[in-house]
Amino acid sequence: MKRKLLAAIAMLLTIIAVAPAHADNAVKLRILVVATGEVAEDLGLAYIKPVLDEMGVPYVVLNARTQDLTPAFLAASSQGTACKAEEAGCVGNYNGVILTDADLIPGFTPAEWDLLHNYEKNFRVREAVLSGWPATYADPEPPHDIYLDYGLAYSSSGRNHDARWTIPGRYSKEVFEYVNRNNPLPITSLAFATHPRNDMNHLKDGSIPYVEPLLRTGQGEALLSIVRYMKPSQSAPVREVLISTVTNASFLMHSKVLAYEFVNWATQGVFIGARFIHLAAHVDDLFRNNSQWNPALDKENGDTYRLTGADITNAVSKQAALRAAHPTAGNFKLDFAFNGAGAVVNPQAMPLAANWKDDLVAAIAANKMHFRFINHTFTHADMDKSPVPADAPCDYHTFTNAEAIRAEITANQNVWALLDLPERNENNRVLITGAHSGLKDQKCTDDPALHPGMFNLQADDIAFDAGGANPLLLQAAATAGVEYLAADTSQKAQNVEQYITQYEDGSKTDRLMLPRWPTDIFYNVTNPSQLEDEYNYLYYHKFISAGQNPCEVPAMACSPRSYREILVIEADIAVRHMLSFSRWPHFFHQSNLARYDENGSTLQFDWLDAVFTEYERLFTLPVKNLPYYEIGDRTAESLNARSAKIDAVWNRTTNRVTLSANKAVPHLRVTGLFGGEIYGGQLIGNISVDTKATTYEIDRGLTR
Amino acid sequence: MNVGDLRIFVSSQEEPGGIPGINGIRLNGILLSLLLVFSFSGTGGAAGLANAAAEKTDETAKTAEQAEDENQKKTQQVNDLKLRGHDSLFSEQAKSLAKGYRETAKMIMEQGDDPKPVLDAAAYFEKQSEAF
Repeated sequence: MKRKLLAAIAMLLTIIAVAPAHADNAVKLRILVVATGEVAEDLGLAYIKPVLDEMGVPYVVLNARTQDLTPAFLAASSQGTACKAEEAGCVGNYNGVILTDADLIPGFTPAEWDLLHNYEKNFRVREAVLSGWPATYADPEPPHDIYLDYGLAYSSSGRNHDARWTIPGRYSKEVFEYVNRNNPLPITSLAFATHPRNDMNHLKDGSIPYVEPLLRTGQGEALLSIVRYMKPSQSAPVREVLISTVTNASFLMHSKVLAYEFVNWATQGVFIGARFIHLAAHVDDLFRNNSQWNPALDKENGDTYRLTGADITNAVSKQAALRAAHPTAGNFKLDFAFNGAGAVVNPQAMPLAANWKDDLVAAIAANKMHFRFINHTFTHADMDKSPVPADAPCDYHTFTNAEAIRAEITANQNVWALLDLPERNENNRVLITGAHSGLKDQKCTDDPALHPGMFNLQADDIAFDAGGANPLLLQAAATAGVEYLAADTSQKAQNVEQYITQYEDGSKTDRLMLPRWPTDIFYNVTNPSQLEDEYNYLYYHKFISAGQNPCEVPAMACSPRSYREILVIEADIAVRHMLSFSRWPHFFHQSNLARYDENGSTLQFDWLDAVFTEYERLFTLPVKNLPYYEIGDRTAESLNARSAKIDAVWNRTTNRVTLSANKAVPHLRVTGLFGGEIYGGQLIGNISVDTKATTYEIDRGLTR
Repeated sequence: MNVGDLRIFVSSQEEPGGIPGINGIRLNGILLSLLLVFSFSGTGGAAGLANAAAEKTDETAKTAEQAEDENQKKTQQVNDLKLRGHDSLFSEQAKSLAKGYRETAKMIMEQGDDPKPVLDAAAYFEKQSEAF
């Protein structure tokens, strides 16, 4: 029944579509994602959804298995009823279509394909296909016209390709502007390699698919192509599709490289939202001593390391060398999260006095413009909840009132002033607690030496979302004017940008949690042999010693790894973080900045060099390196924009977009706006939107 | 399948004592090339030898580059697997994908074409769904 009804509607629309006319020639800035199921079932939807969310792109998902595509779904008049492109006041509901699967079998009927293709033709909307079989299907009913044809002929299947970029010159400023086309892109998932047919076979509407591959196997087979549907009488294509026959998923590196273009292509580079690549490295515990790993004992043995003035001058040189070696690094700066108690003459004395005799303090002051700084509390005190009862044994000291915690924050702000470090006012809004304490309850078990029977000290932790955070910390942060609070992505419920609403902090506003990525460059190592030993202890030997096979434990190593291997793995992971477009920084510790050889090498800069090297193998986009308070500001702006209902209509005749929102959005990023920031060859506007409609000029940046 | 089933590097490609970083192999190849070119550049009438040496070093550099690319890809695969292992939805998604490919195979047969590549894909994803 559904098939027959839709076939009739489609036939009607096909007839209308013979000579498309565009009364208003307008579409909403929104993407239609046609999926084969919910996120739990559809690998493609699970892949593209977080990309759209992170970029802030509005979209609607049609589950082809459970929902029918109807005319009303695609275009509506001002009265909200289904309409045709040639009718005055008819606006297309989407300016781009993404299919998670190439043939959408079995949910999508031939009639639905016709509806979709006619919408794309009549409203001049592009389609991007994330993955699947390069189908050519004919109607089951006579005269058996072809309703789906990507113009591709299957050639081979494989799961291991060194794909080469072959982007035709005419598309060089339009697609994949951001990739490093000189290097192969390793494809590590199942792919159907194809050949463009480029024959004269036409679809039922008379259009002929003309294929131009953008990415090919070593044998020249197509993996990713642009298909232009041409009619003999017309110079412009009637429809345009970007199709990948490579399996894509959010955990695959090649998918991360390709993701942006599916969105950018489908929307013709005009969409609400934007993407930037970010990298920030936070060096925690400046002015403190970090305990050290002893490879001979496979544990810490009481030795400590604290940076010297020479380490700081070395870091200045290494930072300059990093910028010189990596064109995408720009003006990259390390961020020091510091504990001022280690920079004053006497932490207990009031007023505090800077310890200028300390060569580390003097070196930091002398080189302060080369770095950025963040409040890491005065003494790195633990901010976790107090035990119950209060006299119960606890591995760490706890505070019993908010005022004492506030003093930890404000005393460090005082040291900021004493050392005259830059951007103090901006940074008063930011806090990183020692070891991210106070956001979960460790239940007083923190020191492995005191709990030999516990294999995993975190096993008894109470997570942030289970009531484990310390309300006293949140109260203290609120009264000290802290707006942004750092979290650790490896901890449960801390890997989300979120306002902390579930704890009462006595304030009218909520703190915003800003997650940071940990790495396997541990806090207690200064050189490669230490790191290698501790890494292999934690990922391999520890399990062998306990009589377990590390190969059978998820994420552990089957054999020990060298420093170089560890760096490559770490760099690969960091680049994946960057390609998720998240702003989250990676955090390290001051020990990692120790100079460990005569070349001035440090673990910190080895990591950064490896990350930029890997990134530049794939990408050419400049990397944004934002101060933490700005990461907070941008995150707050994004969350506000995502919570608003944005209405945007692109009139292609005037080439202008009219925007409004259901609430004030002071900072809305829109890609393709005239006058915007140029990034990756595109213009990204940062505009203020509210309930009053405002019109902006479109600039797709195709001539830049 | 476990993350650790895949070994990352071939031990002979490691550089004990070298500058840590991932460009070591390529750097060694280039240095070797330069060394060999300079060794032959001063010998009169030895152009043939120099050319042969240059070709050989080019080949060495190419081999080293290929080895580096291969290592990079293996690392990528290790992390792909590691992250896939953390994805609790993957098993169900792979199962759905396999089911979808079986439906596609039926359609391809109805169209009179060969469904084998799609059936192979379905079998592959079925296996993947069982592995996690």
